[in-house]
Order: sequence, then structure tokens, then C-alpha cells
Amino acid sequence: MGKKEILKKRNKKRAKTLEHKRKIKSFEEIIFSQAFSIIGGLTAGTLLAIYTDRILLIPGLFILLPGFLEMGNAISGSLSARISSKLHLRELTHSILIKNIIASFVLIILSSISLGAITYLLSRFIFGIDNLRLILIPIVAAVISGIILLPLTSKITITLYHHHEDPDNLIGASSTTLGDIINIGAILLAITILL
Amino acid sequence: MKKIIATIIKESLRIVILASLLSSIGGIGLELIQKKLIAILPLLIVFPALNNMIGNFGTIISANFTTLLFTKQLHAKWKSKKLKELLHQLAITAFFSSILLATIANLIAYYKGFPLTLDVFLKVLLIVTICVSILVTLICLISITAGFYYYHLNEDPDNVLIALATSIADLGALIIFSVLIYLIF
Repeated sequence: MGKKEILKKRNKKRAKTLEHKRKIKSFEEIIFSQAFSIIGGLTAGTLLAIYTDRILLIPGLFILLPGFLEMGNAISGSLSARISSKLHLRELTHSILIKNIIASFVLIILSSISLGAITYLLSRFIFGIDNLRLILIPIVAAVISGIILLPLTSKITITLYHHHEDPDNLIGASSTTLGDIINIGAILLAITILL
Repeated sequence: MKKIIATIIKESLRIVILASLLSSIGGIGLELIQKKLIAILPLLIVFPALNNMIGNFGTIISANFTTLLFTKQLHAKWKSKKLKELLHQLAITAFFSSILLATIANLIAYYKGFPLTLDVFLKVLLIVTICVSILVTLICLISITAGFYYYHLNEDPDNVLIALATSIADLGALIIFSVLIYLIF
């Protein structure tokens, strides 16, 4: 067997080993991200279980809650995905990052206004609950959440990118987990402020 | 500066509002089973985690999928080795995550003083497993189809896919979760 063939065979074996290691690492990251997501979700659920009495003070809040969580996760998830794509393409600058955060903040405020209106209308016409606080709660909560969540999501995305080969598996978990905890906290705080 | 911000808002606003609207509609289901949800503590604890977990699957598939697209590893085809590998990993993780989630939620409820029985434990486990299995399959199919669609339209799938995947996850999870609670408890 020639030297070239031996080298070729060795390189092939090495490539196979590297591919196998990459697969395992990616799998580990997905498992880790799900574990992180479960822990975060359970923390949010436990918060709900502890403050059930406060939630029951606002009739119709169960209609608002999933929409608000969804809105926060969608916006912070998109923000981190955009930052991640820019990082992969090596196009992320400070200016682009700031623009993305501002756009996400405007989005979260605009969406919370429409979410409040939708929730109010749904609870008014389906359950006969006439509670104007249902419009104000998501707006106040969105301001609180936006100030904390968006810069934090960006920072975590960039940190994960610099410390992991494939951050896509962890970015989603970190943004939705943080999103759920911060958003439930923001809603509870908004209820306290507005009651 | 204004152009980038305006583009992001323009491309994302409709889908985010639609996603929130869908979730609020799902919230109606939750409002209808509110009494059971508060009375059976593991269900209240499991609800955000279940939503989060399913949404996270949507984000994982969307983020990985768009990265594979942008780095030209998929060539906009379904039958890609990398895509199959990703789906396989997601299926295995989904199965074990649902068991873990149901178990921990029951344990937390038990330590918070909820009178946990084997019957309730198994029912919560069943609800979580069914929800996760149905929704992960659905999210994968819809995210990839939509991703290819927006990619071919020369639009950035990042602005749409995450919102789409998480809204399917939220609405689907709320509806399936509410229906299963109504049927099983």
C-alpha cells in the first residue's frame, strides 16, 4: 500500500471520528437546552402556583397569559436567531446589534397593545368580563420585560456563540426559558402596579 | 439605521400579532378549564414548562434549519443527511424530555402539599407525552416547509419561522392540553 493511500485512509478515519464527535456534541447541546428549558418552565409554573391568588384577582388573565408568553418568546427568539445568523456570517457590528434591540423593543410594545385589545375583546364577548386592566397589564408588562429581556437575550446569544461550536441548540432554550420567567414575573409585577 | 429597524418591524409585526392572537384564542381553552387547572397543581406547574419545551423544539429546528440554509449545507432540499440527523435527535430528546417534565412537575406539586396519587401521576404523564409527540411532529413539518418557502421568496426565514413555530407550539399545546385535561380528568 502506497504512502498516499495510507494517508488518505487515515484522513478519512479522522474525518469520520470528527463527524461522530460533532454529532454527539450537537445531541448533548439539544439535551442540555431542553433540560434548561424544562427547569425554566417549571420555575415559571411554580411562580404561577405560588401567586395563584394574585392571578385570580384579574378575571380573564388566563386568556392573556399564553399570548403574552408567546409574544415575548417570538420576539426574543427572532432577535437571537437574527444575531446568531449575523454572527455565523461574521456581519454583526455594534450598530446592527443596537438596531435589532430597538426594533425588538418597538415590536414588543406594538404587539402588547394589540394583544391587550384582543384579550379585552375576547374576554368581553365570550366570557362577559369587562375589565379594562386587561389592556393595560400587557403594555406595562411589555415595558418591564423589554428592558430586561432584550439586552439579556443579545448578550447571552453572543456569549454562547463565542463559547460553543453550534450555539443554535442553546440559543432557543435560553431565550424562551428566560422569556417565560421574566414575562411571568413582569405580568405579576404589572398586576401589582395596576391593582 | 431607520431602514433596518423598519424592515425588521415590517417583516415581523404581522406574524407576531398573529402568533399572539392564536395564543390568546388558545387561552380561551385554558380559561374554560381554569378551575381544574388550579385544583390539580401538577397541571398548573407543567403548563408553562410544556409550552416552553415545545416552543423550544420549534426554535431549535428553526434556528438550526436557517443556519443550514444560509451556510449552503441543505441546498434547499428535504432529503438532506443533516436534516434527517437533526430530526432524529429531536425525536429522541422529545420522548425523554416529556417523561422528565411530567415527573418533576408531579414531584414539585407533591412537595407543595398536593395529595399526589399514582392515578394523577400517570394521567399527567399521559397528557404531556401525547402533547409533545403530536406537536413536535407538526412543528417540524410546518417549520421546514415554511422555511423553504420563505427562502425561495428571498425573505429572511429568521423573522418568520421562530414566531410561526412557537405560535403553533403554543396554540397547539393549549388546545391539546385543554382537551386532554377535559377528557382525562
